[in-house]
Amino acid sequence: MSTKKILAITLLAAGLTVARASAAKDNLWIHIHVQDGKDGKVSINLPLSMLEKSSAFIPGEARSSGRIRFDDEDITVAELREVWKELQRQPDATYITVDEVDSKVRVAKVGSYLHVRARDMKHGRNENVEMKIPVSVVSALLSGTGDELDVAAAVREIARQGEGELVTVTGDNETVRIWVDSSSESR
Amino acid sequence: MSKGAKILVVIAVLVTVMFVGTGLLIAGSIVHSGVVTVKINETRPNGTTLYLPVPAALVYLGMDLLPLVDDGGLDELRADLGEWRPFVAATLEDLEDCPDAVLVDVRDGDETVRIVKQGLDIEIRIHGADGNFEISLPARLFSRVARAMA
Repeated sequence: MSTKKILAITLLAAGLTVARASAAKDNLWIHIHVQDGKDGKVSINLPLSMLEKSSAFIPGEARSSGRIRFDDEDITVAELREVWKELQRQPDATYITVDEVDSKVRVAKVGSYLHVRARDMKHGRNENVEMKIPVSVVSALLSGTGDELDVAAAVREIARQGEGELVTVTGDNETVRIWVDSSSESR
Repeated sequence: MSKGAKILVVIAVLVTVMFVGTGLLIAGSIVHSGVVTVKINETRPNGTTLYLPVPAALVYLGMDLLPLVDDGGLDELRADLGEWRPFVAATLEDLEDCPDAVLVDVRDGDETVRIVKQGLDIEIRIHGADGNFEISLPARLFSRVARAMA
């Protein structure tokens, strides 16, 4: 086979792979599933492309959430951005460990993911939060300026990352799951 | 054929053309714009049972005429949505291109609320102990609402 033919076939295969990846990205759905007790359930299934387009129109007021409450202390988005910049340069490790009688928090960077695990047992509750967020999504979310979160950039990055579990919260009587996959139905 | 009979034939042809034309126009508008259907079925004794199909073209016409008779309701809606108006408008506009799926499914005991995209329509189905309520709207209608809001 001539070099030209091999090159043409390689280019065609590469083109098909890119087209397939792009089509797969277009077919992604974000699912939010809330189970409240035995009888309550809320399922929201939206094409990620739809969320991607709409998120560009999220008003500035909502994007600039200002502060994030962490372990009874307020951290501004600007402060979080600085911490994140520093964290990205560091190797994989558990960076935050809170080990109290009624609450436990663990934040770790593992490969290209940020793992957040929290357990809250205050006031007789038993709530577990588990998040596995791609590092690039956090970076995109914090790519805004000042106290603004760039939600649109984060949604774009989630779409680029493809299928995966994002957030799981389990409480005594309720569970919340947010995930991305190529199926239009909750599973 | 007498002159009177000829006039009668012409009138009959005109009336037929008018009826057929109107029928074709309605059929055309239904095919082009879709139909808004409302189904109500209350389970209590003497409850309401209703099936009401309305050509969406009539709804569009109503929306087009709304600014002429509106006494500020649309402006009020715009004001209520505030900065979220472009976000809501973009979301509504995208519903038309959204693939078929159950977009929202809420269950609370015996009651369920579902928002489903099916073909060219958006269906809102509410089922409960008191009965069932279903409304089907062409997805294009949401784009029109989005444009009216913008």
